[in-house]
Amino acid sequence: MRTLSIKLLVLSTAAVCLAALFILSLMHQREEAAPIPLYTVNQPMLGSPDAPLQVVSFEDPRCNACILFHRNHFQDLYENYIQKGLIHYTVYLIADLPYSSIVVQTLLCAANQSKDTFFSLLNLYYANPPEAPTDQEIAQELIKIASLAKLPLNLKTLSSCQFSTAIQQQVLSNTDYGRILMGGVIRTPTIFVNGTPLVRPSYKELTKLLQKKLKKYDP
Amino acid sequence: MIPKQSLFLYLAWTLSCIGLLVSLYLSELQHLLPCSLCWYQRISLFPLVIILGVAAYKGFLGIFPYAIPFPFLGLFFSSWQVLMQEFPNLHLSANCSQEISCGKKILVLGKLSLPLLTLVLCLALITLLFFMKQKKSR
Repeated sequence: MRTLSIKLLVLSTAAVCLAALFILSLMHQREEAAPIPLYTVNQPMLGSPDAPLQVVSFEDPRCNACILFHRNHFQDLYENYIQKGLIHYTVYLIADLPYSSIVVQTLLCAANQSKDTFFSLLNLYYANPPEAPTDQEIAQELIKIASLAKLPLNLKTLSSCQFSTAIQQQVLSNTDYGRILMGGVIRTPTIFVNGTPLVRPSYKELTKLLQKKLKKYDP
Repeated sequence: MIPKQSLFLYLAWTLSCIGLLVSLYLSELQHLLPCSLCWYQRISLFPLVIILGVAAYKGFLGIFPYAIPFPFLGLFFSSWQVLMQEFPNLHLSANCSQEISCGKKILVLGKLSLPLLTLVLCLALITLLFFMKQKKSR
């Protein structure tokens, strides 16, 4: 009798746990957070501002998931959505990892000179992120990358901008804003589609949400 | 009436199940990637769900020597991480990546960090398993 009651107790607890796991997996599939209004002024953007979808990608250039996502999927996103005028794409760079700040500072300095060149430099950076032991060396490597690729940038201005107080302040405020939006813990890449956040999405998850949102705009 | 030693075993198993669910919730739904030390703590906790579960079902109280190393391992790794987070000046090193830092404090339930929760859980598991053993030997 005793054995039976403990067996029943164990079995019912196991059933509760399995049910909880099942609910967790369902939530994992269906979870779609409520849209959040975003402030993206002064951030580098691509595509038509009149596009039906506003996509904002919060990235830390030193985060491996961001590097891989950009390398593997940005071109596809560009050809299938940005160029076709379906999405207006904003990159929101934040610095949460060691040696991120100098990379973000340099990229934002490039964006201040030309938004288009920013994306060229970002592509070059993500293709081969420089590994150097100090901020100074990383800064020089990035200038070298821009120079070798003959990007239309004033390298002298870029170099003097890299460590300026104004740009450091911008990086700090970008990062603080990202942290607030992500509920206190930075998780990159976080991509907002018309304000709906997707945390570290797979490309399939992102395109699924894009298609779903685009359906609403179909004539 | 269920014997007390079986109840202690059952409670220990239930605690390990709760630990598993919370851990999966944080990684899969909250998208908090586990750091290296967090993985070691998970490795110490997850087998207990099976080991203690089968023992509780079978009423096998001789499980103590097989189960007890796991919470002790979890206690070791969680204490290491708690010390690392609370006293950065100690410069405790671990094979942690820069991206998913072990030293980064993520608070849950107000002011409790994740390794501190694991530490409390492991202490509770050790206590329950020892209670189970004591009751059995009487």
